[in-house]
Amino acid sequence: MKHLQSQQAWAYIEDEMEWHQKLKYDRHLEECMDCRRLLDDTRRLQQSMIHAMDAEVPAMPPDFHAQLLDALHKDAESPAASRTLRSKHLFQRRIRYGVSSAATVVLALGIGWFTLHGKLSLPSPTPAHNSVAMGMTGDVTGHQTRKGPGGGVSHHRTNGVLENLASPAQAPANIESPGQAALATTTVPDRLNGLALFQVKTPSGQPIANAHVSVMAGGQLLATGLTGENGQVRPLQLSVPVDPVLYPLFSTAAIAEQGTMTVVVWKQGYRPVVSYDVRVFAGGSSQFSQSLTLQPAAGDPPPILAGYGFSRNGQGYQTSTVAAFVNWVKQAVTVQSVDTAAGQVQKVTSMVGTSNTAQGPGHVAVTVLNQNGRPVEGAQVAVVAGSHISGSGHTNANGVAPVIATSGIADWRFIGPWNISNLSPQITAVVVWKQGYAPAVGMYVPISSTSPTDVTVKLDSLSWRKSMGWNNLSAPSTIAPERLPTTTNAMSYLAWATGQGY
Amino acid sequence: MRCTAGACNERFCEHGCLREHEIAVRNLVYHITHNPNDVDDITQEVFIKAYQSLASFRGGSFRAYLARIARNHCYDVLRRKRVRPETTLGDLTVEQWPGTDGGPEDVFLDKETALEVRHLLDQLGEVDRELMILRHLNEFSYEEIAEVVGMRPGAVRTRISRARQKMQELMERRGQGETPAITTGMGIHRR
Repeated sequence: MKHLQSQQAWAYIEDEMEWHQKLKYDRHLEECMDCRRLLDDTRRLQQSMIHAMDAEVPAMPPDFHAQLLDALHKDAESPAASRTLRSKHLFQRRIRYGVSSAATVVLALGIGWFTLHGKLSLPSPTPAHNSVAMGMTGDVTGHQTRKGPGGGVSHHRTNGVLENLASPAQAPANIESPGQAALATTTVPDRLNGLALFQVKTPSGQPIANAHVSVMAGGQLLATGLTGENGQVRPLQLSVPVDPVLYPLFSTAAIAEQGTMTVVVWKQGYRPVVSYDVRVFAGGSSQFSQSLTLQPAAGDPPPILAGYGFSRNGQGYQTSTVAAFVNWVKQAVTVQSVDTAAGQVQKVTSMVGTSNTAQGPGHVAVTVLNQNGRPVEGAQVAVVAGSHISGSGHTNANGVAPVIATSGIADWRFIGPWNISNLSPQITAVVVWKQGYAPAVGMYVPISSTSPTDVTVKLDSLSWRKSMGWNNLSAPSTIAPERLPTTTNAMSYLAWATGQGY
Repeated sequence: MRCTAGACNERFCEHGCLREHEIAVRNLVYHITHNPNDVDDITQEVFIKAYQSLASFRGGSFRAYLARIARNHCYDVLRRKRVRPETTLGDLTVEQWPGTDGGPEDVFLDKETALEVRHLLDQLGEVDRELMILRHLNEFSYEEIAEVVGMRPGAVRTRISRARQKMQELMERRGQGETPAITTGMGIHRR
């Protein structure tokens, strides 16, 4: 079997290779470290380019979508408007949608014409909610698998005019979301399994024997190994969690469906390396290989951060934080004594150790109201901690669901990038849904064993949205606290928690 | 282009599809004009143009149709202004790099690496850079890209392949030079 060439490596990672060819290379890759390295390098180049290109684009204004819809409506309404496309403040101008009845007729005619021609269906302005496609049935039980995220999501805004016309229609239970039609069929496991191969070498490429390799994920030690004379650790069979925490960071479901882990490598006389890896066993691959370089150093040198998104020198983390993490791992593995010469490091070590324990159980009181502020009874509430549901319940007649749940585990990566004091185990989401209503997802909900947490959710009934002329029924309801996940994240959580695809 | 929310078959529906197109179009607009102040205005103009000329859409990829309009419109704007897009970042420092800041997410979007890679992307030609944007950032197929830029799919494939090759070479060269090696990802340092 010939080695992979650059072009084939691209075809491989972009899923453009013929399946039989891919199968051959899969076999070849199990044996060929060089080809695995080429594949890893290619993936890294791809990710770096995407990040570089993406990071440069200025953030989209939150009301961009609404402004665009307004402008399109305006254009449909007045063809003359198109002749002044480049009017200086076209976008900035906030066009209130309080149209006169005559203008509404013109607009309706315009939209109707386009709709008849099957090409345009401008939406009506819709209330100020973020949204998620849904289609909720199922229960919060036995979540060994979750559906792949997908489906459409959008954010909408409106004036209060239409909202004031709201009829207090109650949601019939049999209304289904249009999102139902977009149910994904792919099943994504909560964990990905495979063989991990590690090689440790010097900067000049010489293998390093007797180096410790520890693999961490979700605050737990997954596996450890010692390198042999060839610098390689025996293949480690790993079960790596698919990390929902990552979802806010990526825009495509494909990237979200990946395992993540942190690898710590150390040996006396070398600078330790902490490497954070994503795309582990991604895309159906059952193997992951990595080559790590240790730099010789005397004494107790600070570690080097490597891995996905890290710069060469680990810029962005306090050295003491990384050192503390390494010490924590060392402790966990070999029960070595931590260097307490620097008091600060000892303190940080202790905090990192604590962070790897879920908080709670604590009380979370979730109050669910409908669009008119009336209690919604029988709504399902799930508290999602990391990659499992740590508490669930149903709302009572007052619309309140008292849930006892534990928090997610604060990942050391989420220690404030520059300050460890930000550390807080808040990697927890709350998902609320009921048949006939648009579900809601809130993230970073704090859970504490000492003080209860209040979460208020406003679930829009689908029949109400329909009566209000929402074209987009598949929109998320609002939830407080307001730290909302990205739409992809919301979809993923919803899909996972409700057992439905979105 | 079917609505990704599965609710309709419209081109300009308000479900996820329109939002999805907004991001892709805006990405392209920014990378052609390099004008952060006008990117939202120009993106909006693209959609209005696309909306006005829907009759000329003959089927196929709707996002490619939008991207083609976006590309042409951007060059119109640049011509009108008689300026060339900024093709290099000059002396932009890591601090000035317009990535995210403040949040823990920064950990994943290392500015230094992004800036270095961005500098290397600048060394590609204008068209090659556009192809890379369409392929990697907007995730267009080769056929869609061909529609956008008016080339044959085979030619697009070849050019993208060469551009990637060049990126790889540039990164290796940079890694061997006196400047720091780029860690493009998971811990392998090219030297």
